[in-house]
Amino acid sequence: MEYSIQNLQFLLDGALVTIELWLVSVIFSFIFAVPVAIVRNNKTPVLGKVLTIFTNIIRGTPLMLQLYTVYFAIPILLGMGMGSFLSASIAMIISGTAYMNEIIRVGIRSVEKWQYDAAQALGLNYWQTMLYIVLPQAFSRSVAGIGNEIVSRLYSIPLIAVLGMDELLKNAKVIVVRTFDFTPFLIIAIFYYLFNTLILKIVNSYEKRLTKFKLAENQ
Amino acid sequence: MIKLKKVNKTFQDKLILNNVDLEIAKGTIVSIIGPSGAGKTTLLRCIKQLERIDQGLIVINDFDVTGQGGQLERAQILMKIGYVFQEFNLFPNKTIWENLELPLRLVSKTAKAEREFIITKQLEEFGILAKKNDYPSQLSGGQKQRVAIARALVMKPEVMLFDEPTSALDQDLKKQVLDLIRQLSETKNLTTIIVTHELQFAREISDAIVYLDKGTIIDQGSAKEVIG
Repeated sequence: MEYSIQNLQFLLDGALVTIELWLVSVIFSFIFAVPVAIVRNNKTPVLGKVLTIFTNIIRGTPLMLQLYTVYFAIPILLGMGMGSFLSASIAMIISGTAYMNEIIRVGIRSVEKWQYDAAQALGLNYWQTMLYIVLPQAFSRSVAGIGNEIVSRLYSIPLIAVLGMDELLKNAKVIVVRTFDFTPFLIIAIFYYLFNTLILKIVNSYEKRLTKFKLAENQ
Repeated sequence: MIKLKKVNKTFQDKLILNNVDLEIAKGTIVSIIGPSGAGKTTLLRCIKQLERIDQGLIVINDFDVTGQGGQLERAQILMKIGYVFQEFNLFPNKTIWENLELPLRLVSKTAKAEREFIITKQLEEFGILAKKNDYPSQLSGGQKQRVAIARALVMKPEVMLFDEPTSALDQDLKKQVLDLIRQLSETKNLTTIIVTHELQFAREISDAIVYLDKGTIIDQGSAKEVIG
């Protein structure tokens, strides 16, 4: 009995690391992705190009390489060490920002030019137009893609084991190797499934809210 | 008073407006007619500064809106020019109320209570108050147009620009629009510029008509003088 509780505690510790890292990654990726998408879409000469190159490099290289780079190379360059969690967070945020800004950028680009015209004709400035007209519609058009990205962030987290971190899948594997009992895999499979279902439910309800105006059209 | 002096506008090396000189007196209704591609809509967009002109001047109430100076005054003058687009250009993700409220809240910074009063009055006047919580996609063409006009009017414009106001409407609604524009011009003493390709409509509503072709004003004067 005590043995099972210890294992469950071990799994729970891993789950907490997974959820913490997932939350940090998703929240900060989104926060950074929005301005990056706006600048890229705005065709700001130098900065826009730099951000496009950044996005292409990150999307074109494996996350594991990015984890190694942040964990090993950045401390050498800066002359100071970084903990595993901070390294993993930075790498996950960089990767998430690259993928999410691309999704949001396409959403922004899909908003028709006449809506900018209408906003300008009413006297709205560029940022008011972005904030009140363009971004809400860009999100509503890209919410499915953002939802997928949020879910796939969760599946990327087991890679942080390469930095020696104890996340959920790694802890389950440790128990299985030690006990030859596959129950922990079943437990974490259920956890992943339920967690994903919850995320998708939240994303779907948010999508419904954002696309209320489209639903009204069919009434 | 709106004055255009030697206005030129090109798109990708194609001359759209060619030395356009035009004067429109306060409180008059002027229709701009001409074949497709004559530059009618571009002219309207240039007056509202949705397009930058390449050469010339556009002076509104003695202020050069095409110049670089006086950005605040320029913004205030442009705020008093209402623009009704051919396809109405209502924001699809905003309700009718929100479409009207947006410029009042963000541009003229009108207080909430006053906003509510202005919008309610305007929607009531146009008989669409019951639709205030609907989205544009739930409205008919005629209702959309009334909302588009109402959205421009809540900013208390001195000038109204209409781009093909009847092109998306059936005969009955065209008559209603004609009456509405005439009534607005009379009651609010608005200067009104209408781009249209419908001669009958232009004849019935206008104090003056401008005939534009290939970016050049070919003729201007009363309806009788220009259309006959």
